[in-house]
Amino acid sequence: MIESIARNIDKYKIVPIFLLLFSIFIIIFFGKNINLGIEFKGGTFIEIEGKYNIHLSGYSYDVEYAKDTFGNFYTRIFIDKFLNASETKIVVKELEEQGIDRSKISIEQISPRFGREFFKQVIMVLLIAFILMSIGVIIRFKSFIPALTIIISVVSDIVTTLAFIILFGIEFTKGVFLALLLLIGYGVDSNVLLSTRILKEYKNFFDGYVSAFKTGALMSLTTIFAGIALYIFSASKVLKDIALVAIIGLLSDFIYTWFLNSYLIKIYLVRVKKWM
Amino acid sequence: MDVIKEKEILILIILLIISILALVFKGLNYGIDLQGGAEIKLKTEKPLSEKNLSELVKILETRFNAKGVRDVNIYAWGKEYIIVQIAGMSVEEARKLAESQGKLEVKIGNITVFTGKDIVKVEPYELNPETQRYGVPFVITKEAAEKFREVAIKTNFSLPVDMYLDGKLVNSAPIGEDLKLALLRGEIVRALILETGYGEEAKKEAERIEIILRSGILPIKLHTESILEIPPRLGERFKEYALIAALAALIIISIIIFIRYRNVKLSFLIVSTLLSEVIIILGISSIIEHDWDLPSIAGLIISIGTGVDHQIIIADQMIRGRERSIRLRLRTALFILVTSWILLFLAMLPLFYIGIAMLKGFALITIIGYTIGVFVTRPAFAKILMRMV
Repeated sequence: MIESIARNIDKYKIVPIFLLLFSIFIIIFFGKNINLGIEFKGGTFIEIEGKYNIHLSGYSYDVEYAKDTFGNFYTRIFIDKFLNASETKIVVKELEEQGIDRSKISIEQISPRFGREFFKQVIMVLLIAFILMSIGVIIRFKSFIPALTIIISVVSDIVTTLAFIILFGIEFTKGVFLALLLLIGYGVDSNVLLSTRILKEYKNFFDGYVSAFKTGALMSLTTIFAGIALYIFSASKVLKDIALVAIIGLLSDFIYTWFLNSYLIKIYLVRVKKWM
Repeated sequence: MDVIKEKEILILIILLIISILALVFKGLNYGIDLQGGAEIKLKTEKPLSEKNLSELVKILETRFNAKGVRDVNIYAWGKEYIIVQIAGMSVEEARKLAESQGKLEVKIGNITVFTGKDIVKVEPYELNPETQRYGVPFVITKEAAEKFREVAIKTNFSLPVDMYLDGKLVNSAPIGEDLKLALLRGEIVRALILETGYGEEAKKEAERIEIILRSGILPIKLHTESILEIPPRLGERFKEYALIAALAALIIISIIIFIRYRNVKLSFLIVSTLLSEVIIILGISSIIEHDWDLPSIAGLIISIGTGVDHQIIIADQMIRGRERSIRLRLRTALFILVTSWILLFLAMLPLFYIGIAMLKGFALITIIGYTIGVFVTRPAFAKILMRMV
């Protein structure tokens, strides 16, 4: 199976190329529909332990019910406005009048200005992290093209993950951002493994690919399952967001590492190195 | 026991012992999202000097201490952020106390008669037994009292006295008969009262205004930027479930490892290496008194995840390709691990500076985890593995 993929890598290249084009299409045409979390757009988030019917006067709000693996219910209220202290007090009072104990209410509020600023910084961090990482890869591999194939593969992974976040309507929260940052790290690991095995250790495409695939597939498998465990067992929204996006990203990393990076390495070996 | 003679293994054992001692005697610290509590982040209108910031922090501390809050921690972050962490007080009350600059302005009609700067003494708030209204009595300077009298007479006592706190009208009342007569007699009345009204809310407001007037005026206006309040019980639950999630991840990883290698010794070695990584991360976090929050836990889980990935790389390098020398195979493993460490370090650096360090815990724990993993536990793992194969 793996041997046949390694031999026919030219045929399989269509999969990552199609996925990447599809992702770019989604981002360009639907990117503005991205569902930002309150930490980025500002507002008020109230989480109540238990299931309650909520009635608030004066603000437009959304209510969402969640249940964790251990059977606890959560009532989540999203208010689009950054309430001031007196307004918060009134809302809390209204909730208390509906029989909800204050010790079950958690509140998170972000001012729109701070949220916007935070979002800008987060995008900057992703870019800076990415640029630093690219420089690091180039320096480590002491060669431009092998580093470039890794960088292309990792960028594609981030782009596709972002596209699926938009497509599935996943809220873009700080957890999602952390997951994207982490995917840069994971994506680099699997790609560095592949490139190192082929270019530095085996100096042969076929053997390097097959051996790296066996190791890399196990790595992806353990990490994906760790992500699933985190998704199932954690109760907090932050950890669940990280797990979900990490799983999506790891799946797409799998495709880009083993079908795209490998294909690019092969072209490099044929055209530049003339090994094949 | 000659494994201990290996430098890598010795370092691992020493670090493990230190970590366990730290965990037993020092324990772990938790942030608000894992132990409950409240945090308010405020931004100053302009960046401030260190001196002004510490003055600001001092005034805020005075306010919270006067309120009798048992657990409060106020500090400046950067040049324009103030962070207030409190337990045992609702976040709305805390916010009102912190947001108020404390600028009092007393007007009759359009004329400013005196401001908070003219107050020489603030008395404890009290309930007027006759009117059942709460109020904060205070004493003003002689000059201010003279101006008060002059303006009151000039406007013929026809206008109410308006008291504004931070531009908001908090008390508007006509001058009472007694005061009017005293002023007309030519007396200089220095003791006045700011009334807040009837009932429980008025009592709370009177208490707050007393504290604010007494603490003094903040050198600059503060705006609340973010608020987080987590009930202690929910924090406990998040902590508990995060622990279960981490354990579940560990167990699932162990099972997959065992299925892949079908070797009890190797699987056990991988899992115990992971566990020792976790113990050392926790130990170091205890020594540096890191506050564990949810992003930190995410960092820990990522460290477990990459930990297992790296050990798989090491194990595969050692087990397969026996036709090449073990040194060459190990060198490849080391190259991948160190590359991964360098790149992660670069990716995490900017996190220390953004969003007023909201995600610092994530970056810190991930970096500690990777560093310990790449330079301590995984080399020790490789050494033990070398003896096994």
